[in-house]
Amino acid sequence: MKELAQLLNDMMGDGIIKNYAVFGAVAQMRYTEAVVTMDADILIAVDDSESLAVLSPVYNYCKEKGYQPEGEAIRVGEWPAQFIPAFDQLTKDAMNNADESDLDGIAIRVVKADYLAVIALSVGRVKDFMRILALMESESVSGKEIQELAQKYNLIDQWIRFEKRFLNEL
Amino acid sequence: MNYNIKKLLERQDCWQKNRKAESWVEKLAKSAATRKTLVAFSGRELNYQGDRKQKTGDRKQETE
Repeated sequence: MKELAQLLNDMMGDGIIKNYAVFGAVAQMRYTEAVVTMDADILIAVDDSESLAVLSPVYNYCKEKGYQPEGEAIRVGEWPAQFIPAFDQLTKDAMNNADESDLDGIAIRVVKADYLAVIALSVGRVKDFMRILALMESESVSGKEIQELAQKYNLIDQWIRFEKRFLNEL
Repeated sequence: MNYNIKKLLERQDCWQKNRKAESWVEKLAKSAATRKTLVAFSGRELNYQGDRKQKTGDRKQETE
């Protein structure tokens, strides 16, 4: 992961991406117990996110550095990295408000627990609901905080359904 | 309390405390090692075509 953190910082420094933040399971593990994941999800900000070839500069840069594509990801050391351009206001805000964390001396930007939970709420698969529950159980985020953020991003109906399904009987 | 159960609970408590003390770096290393093992067991490389497409597809639909 240190290798990936260094690559992301180099990409920013060289102007390939304007911003980034790790999210998904890798970010979740900052707050919860270890979980198994197939890749590291990275939100990125690029100049022209509407273009179909939006990821070409990222792939070309990685190739120049010796990192090869593997399926839809790019293998960086032990981790396949999946680059996802921030595609709506929620993911853009999650990236822009990310924490700067430290991986054995290398800085890395990571989406905060409240945004991780609300992104998971918006995606809405079983494993995303498990992520929300794990984040709440670790006391990294409260139901109230998720509710406030869900309201902001027009996800309040999803939150009410989640509460009814998973929290009301606890 | 039964001595064996008491010992078991103490051991479990100690184990949970140790897990809570794990750093993010340690948890990431553990996760990567488990993924490698799973891939080795399944005898194939990672498959990004199923779950991944669904994930990104869901997100794209939401923005439309």
